[in-house]
Amino acid sequence: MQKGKSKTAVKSVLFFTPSAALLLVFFIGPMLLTLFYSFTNMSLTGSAAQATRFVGFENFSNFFTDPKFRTAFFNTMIFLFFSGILGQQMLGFFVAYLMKKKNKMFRRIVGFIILIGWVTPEIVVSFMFSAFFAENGVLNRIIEVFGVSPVSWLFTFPMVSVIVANIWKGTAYSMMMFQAALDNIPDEVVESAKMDGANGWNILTRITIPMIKSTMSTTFILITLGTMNAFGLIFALTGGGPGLKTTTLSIFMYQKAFGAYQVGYGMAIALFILIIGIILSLLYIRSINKAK
Amino acid sequence: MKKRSVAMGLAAIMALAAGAGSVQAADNGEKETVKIAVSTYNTDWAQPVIEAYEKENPNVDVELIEVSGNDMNTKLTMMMQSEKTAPDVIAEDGFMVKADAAAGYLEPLDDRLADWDDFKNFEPAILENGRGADGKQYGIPYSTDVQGIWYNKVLMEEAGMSMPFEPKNWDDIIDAGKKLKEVGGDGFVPIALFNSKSQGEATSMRTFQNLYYGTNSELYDYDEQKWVIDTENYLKVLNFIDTVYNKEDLGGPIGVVSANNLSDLMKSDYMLENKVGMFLSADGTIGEYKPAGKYAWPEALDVWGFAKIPTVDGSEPGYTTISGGWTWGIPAKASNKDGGFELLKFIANMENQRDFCVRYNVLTVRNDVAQEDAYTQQELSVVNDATAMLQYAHFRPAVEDYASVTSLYTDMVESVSTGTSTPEEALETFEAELNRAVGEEAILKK
Repeated sequence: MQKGKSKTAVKSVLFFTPSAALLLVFFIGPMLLTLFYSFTNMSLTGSAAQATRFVGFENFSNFFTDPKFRTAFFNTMIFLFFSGILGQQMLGFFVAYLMKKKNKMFRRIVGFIILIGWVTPEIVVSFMFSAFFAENGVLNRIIEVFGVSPVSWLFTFPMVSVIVANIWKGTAYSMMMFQAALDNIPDEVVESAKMDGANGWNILTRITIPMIKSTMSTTFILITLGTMNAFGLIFALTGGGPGLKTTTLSIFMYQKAFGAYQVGYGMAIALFILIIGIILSLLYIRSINKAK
Repeated sequence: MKKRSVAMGLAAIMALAAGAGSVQAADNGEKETVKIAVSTYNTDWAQPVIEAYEKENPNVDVELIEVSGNDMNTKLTMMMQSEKTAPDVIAEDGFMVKADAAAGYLEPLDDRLADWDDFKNFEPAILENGRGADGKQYGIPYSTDVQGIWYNKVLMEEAGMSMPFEPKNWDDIIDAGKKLKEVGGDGFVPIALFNSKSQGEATSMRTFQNLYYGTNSELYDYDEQKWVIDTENYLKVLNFIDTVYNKEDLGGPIGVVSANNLSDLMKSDYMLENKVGMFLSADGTIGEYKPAGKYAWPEALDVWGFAKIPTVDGSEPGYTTISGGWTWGIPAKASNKDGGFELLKFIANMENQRDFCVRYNVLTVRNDVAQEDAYTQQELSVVNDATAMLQYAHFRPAVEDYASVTSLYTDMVESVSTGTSTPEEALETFEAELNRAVGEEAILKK
């Protein structure tokens, strides 16, 4: 019996090793390096590039003294909440829920339309919305029909523009996750609830949502992490501007590391993004478990 | 059985592919490779020159690496960090040389230059642009420029102004802007300036530093080795920007002029269609209208004039400008430095330099080119006016920290032009950022 067990154990380790090795080399390794370098004044050029020295918590103390960092953090939270949580998560659930009882053809068409956003490369989406929101772009042409004068969307409402673009791009993911989760709710449970006199709202809040809680938390976490890392879409659409209006932490990190050559500071910011992501994920998991 | 043969087939194909790859490498082993990195703006000049070099040197294969975008300098710096990606010759903006030299990315060229007879034809005063802080020559300058006010003669005459336009102080520029606004239509840009972060170094150099030197003050004190924050004069520049974009609304639709392609937009569109009144930029701007340029326009100089930039209040010496310049360098980690230097000597020779300067309408750094008729008699060029402006030229602070500080000047301009900060607030932010970048001991506040 013992022999069999150890054989299984060896097998498990063997199969586990490749992914562990990949994780170590491509994720944990760089993360540890980032941690190390964030305590230095590492720079892309200048004498600091040759003679990098340890500067302790200087890069991190900037979080409290640099007003631009605060703005970037604030922008990131707004972007996360409106495009990630309110936008993608809720819209995805909403669409999936509404599509539940519809026929297959309808589901296919709607699903396909939403999926286009997800499969379109980020840079193409940026160009699309750049044209959509332009001074002489599609949106202005549409509102002109209703007698509203054109607006410089990317300049006057930059955050709204990037949020809309990001929602369009990413909703498909949560929609698909919720579709699968909702399909897994046994019809008998819903039937018996109806027979007990439950109305639509009660079914939604007391049966449906509790049954898809784990899917909700998974999508919450993945959308949060994905949105915190969003860079290409915002950078190509507004460049983080005008001024600092759409500068999120990831764009700020790029500007500091590659625009101002202060790689050490950039790495500290990157670590901060990681930590925020971890904290938010833990909070979600906790609140979902509590509700159980 | 079937699965096995499929697997073996795949393995055989992969082995073949690997083998074929190595055979190709063996074929190229005979030829020497030289890699040169050039900005996408200059590739149409570079390609024929490279072909000519390859013809003269049949055993050399020149690989042209195009580097694009406003973050070109960052890309080059990163390429030079590794032997695998470092080219053998690079074109680098002069302001990066001190920083990259201090970082050990560039090869000192003094020994090679001592053996190069042609080098005596380079103007000694400009060579500073390619020197490291240690005094060694790391880059060979190949161009320089001056900044001025391109002004629309047709629109100014329509606005009742007398020609030529010769502003004596900054108020004259604002007044001209106001008059032009009256004759311009919807979406008109009375005064076009580089103003945003996405426009990169141009905002820092062609707007902020360009104007600042017109207050007759310094940005860096070389004796004290400190960055200077001359409050009163910084505010003069920021107030001018505030007036243009906010107080008098002379900057044009901000959504348009803050885009990263401002220069291309002006040249391809606005200047051609009288949608802009004045444009503060380099003498070479008009170069795109030459027959060989992107938008051939023989009458360009009938519509556009080039004026000297006055000092803030007209005080001596009356005018100001700032000169930039690009250099050719050899990365310290290049794999073929000798080959790179041979190519460098060729592209920097008299004929190729003359053709480059005429093609891109930049000022030459070679004294022999400056005598050539092809250079001085160029059509659609203000090269002679521009050369005369060199006497008023200032340069960007030649210190290694410059690479980090320049983006802070850009941020300052942008926060005022977008109305995000008042000039005083922008200056305060700048001071805090400069503190973070270079440390308090390296700042001299006036």
